[in-house]
Amino acid sequence: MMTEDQKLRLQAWVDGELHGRERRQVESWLAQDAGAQAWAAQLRAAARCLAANETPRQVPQSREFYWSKIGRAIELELAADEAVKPSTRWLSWRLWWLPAAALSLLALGGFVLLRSLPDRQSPAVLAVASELETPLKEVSSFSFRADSERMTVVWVNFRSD
Amino acid sequence: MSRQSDLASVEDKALVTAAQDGSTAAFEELVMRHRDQLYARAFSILRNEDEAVDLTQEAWIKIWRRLGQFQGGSGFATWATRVVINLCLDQLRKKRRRAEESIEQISEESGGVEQFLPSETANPTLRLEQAELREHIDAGLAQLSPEHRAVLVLHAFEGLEYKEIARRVGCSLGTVMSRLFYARRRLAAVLNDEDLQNFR
Amino acid sequence: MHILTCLRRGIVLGTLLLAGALTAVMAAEAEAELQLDAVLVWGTNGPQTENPKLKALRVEIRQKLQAVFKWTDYYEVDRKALKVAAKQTRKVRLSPKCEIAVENLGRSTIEVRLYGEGKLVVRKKQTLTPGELLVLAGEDRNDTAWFVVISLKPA
Repeated sequence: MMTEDQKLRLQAWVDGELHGRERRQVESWLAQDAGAQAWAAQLRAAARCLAANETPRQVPQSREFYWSKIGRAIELELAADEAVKPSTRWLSWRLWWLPAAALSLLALGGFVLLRSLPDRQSPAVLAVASELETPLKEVSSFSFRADSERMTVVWVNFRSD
Repeated sequence: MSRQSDLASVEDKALVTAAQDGSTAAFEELVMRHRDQLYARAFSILRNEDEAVDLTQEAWIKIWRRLGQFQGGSGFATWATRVVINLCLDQLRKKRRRAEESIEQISEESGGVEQFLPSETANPTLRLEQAELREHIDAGLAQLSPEHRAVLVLHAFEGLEYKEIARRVGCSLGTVMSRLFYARRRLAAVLNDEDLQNFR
Repeated sequence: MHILTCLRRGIVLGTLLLAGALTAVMAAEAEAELQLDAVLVWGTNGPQTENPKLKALRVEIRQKLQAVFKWTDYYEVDRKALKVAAKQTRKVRLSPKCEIAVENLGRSTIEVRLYGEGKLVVRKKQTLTPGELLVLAGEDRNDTAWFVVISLKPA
């Protein structure tokens, strides 16, 4: 019968954790002890069986729902980064803002015209007027859009103490 | 939601570079590509769907912040999984119940000359189909304490060495060895000789 | 210099176009009354319920909710139709604990205020187009969930 300590050493040997003199000692013992050999073989087989049979799993949320919290946090970080950038950058951009402003005005004018036509639905419109407010301290919320279902979701969390 | 069809065929390395340059679309593709793997790892340690979802979302946000530190030595998925594992272990540390742990220590130490081989099986000649086998293993993992399960998951599924497990979990090498042994002994009850045939 | 001249003309043209378009759009949409549906839905993974107060949910809404959320079964608790004139607000009760107020801000934009037990829980502005859903949702007891689904009534 093996002691607990022997079993732990044998486990370490099976797992490839022993080196040099310690490893040789265990191998020498195994060469003379058929019971220990069988025990080690069983342990190795069980370890391999376990490693080969982890149950695969999927996130139990839709793509949009799962991403919404992550995307929002990243947006807040990016907005915070932008806020601390030095304002002198604007000066070096003065050569570019004129054409950018002109293009934006033209694009906006065309976009609003298209929007006034019947049965025309531009996804960009849906981004307009999407303010969200949660006045109660014990409540938080976030919103996201599921494009494929044409759905805007506001998820409300009631914080528990 | 940004268009993902163009990014689906881009390999991880290029997506990481784009995300490091600030592309949230590239990062979103990385999240979608690897979210199941990270979630599975978190669930295997925490055994709670909601906790695993929350923790992996927290991990992804942390990964975004630390993208600059990723240098491509290991694969992106491996690096990201390590972030998840560290968060899981932090969570376990916060939740640790000392009373339960000392009870489990007592049962480990008094194992005596108990054999590793399973002593009882309902039908030792019955060969389990793989799906059933996985279910049994999963049920066995669910019964372990968080501390024992964490050590077993890190060794069996992540392939970490004892020393690395001890460092991450914050315990001694001896504790890793005895927890691993105890966890394996508990799981042995769901495995029979027929199932182990293919793994000898 | 030539480039700057072109750009200045571009800005003037764009501004004129924008002003004209905005006038047309505002005239057409400013006074429109909105006809809306508001449905209170209960989502669950449990077995089919025999509760007579719960009704079958319209297929298209059920399918959309199933595609986004983890619950498998969805039931209609209550449904209300609202007609909200421009710049007006209508309030409806969907359950003993749940009311919504919908304000028509014009140009197909609404502000929805959700009240739980009389307290304002959340306020959301949204532009609605036909076929779009605005869903306010949250978890309920025993791993179920509630949803308030707002949409434009089909013509």
